[in-house]
Amino acid sequence: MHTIKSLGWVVGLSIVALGIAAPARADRSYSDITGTNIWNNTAPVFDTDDKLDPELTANITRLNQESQAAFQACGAALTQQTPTSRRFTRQPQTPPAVPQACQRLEQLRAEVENLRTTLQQKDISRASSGLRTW
Amino acid sequence: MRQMKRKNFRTAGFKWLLGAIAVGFVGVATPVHAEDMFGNEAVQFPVDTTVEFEFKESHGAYLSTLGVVNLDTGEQTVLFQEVKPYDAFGSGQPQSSSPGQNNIGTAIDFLGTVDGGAVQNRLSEYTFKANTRYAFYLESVSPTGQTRRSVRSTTNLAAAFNGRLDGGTNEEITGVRIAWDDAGLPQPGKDEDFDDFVIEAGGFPPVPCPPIR
Repeated sequence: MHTIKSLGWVVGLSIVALGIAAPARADRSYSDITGTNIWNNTAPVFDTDDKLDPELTANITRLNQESQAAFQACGAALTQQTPTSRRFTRQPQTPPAVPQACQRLEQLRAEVENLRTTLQQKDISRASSGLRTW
Repeated sequence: MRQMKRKNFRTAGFKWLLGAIAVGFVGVATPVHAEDMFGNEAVQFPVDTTVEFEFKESHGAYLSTLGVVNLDTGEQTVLFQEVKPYDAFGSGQPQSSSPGQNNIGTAIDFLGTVDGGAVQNRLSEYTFKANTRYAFYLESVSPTGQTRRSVRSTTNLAAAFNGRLDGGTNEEITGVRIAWDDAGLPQPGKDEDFDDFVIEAGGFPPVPCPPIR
């Protein structure tokens, strides 16, 4: 009795989980299976062969490599700059200067944002290209 | 599928970079510390903490030395030491005595200052080790050398704390003022002038890293 109850729970939860996991897709196309002839009506996606700009790829790779190096350098600089103890002084203290390595990391972050925008624009133009059949 | 692979390659790079940047900047954030203690009950910090002290003035004819004592080890460190009991010592100038009155800010009652040469250093600093109990002590010797007094900041009969280490300047006090009464023991006829030795501690906290947008 206990086992049956448990099994019931498992099956029930599995159904719920599958229901949640399956994403709702409004643009999904279904094959026409009415009548005697069954046609697969899924829109064909033609290989547009519009390769990614190699320069863009190289730029992304470079950014990744440079940012990894800059991130490590920034971390090391901050560790070196961090004082060993807190300090309460008689005069107001000036904030420590941002290490040069961290400034470079900031520059790279700005570059990434620009590149992200470029890529998003490319994605939009690819998606709205006239190569879709319907 | 090929398109997906390309897209994944592109976005994975960005995710890594942005993640790294985010982690980097989170790591720079100032950690939150437990409560600092800086008063009669205790002088104790949760992390190693350096405090800068300033000698303000002293009143009285006794020669005084002020320092920090590690209550766990008993080790004493001098912060300020009078090289003469008051500024006019040895000059033959008559001194107006005013025992029992608080004469801070006046020249009454054997004034001792840095400018007048009673104490040679205006500033001093000490690094308090994390989670270690400390107190301040004041030792005084009478002009004849017959009377020697030693009091600690662990009693409010000897030391009066006023202010905050990170409180900036408020009404002529920067940071924490520690004003001393060198007769700070419960006894009949004890004065409570708390001007025998006056120092101030800190005032301005460490500045966190500048925010990065």
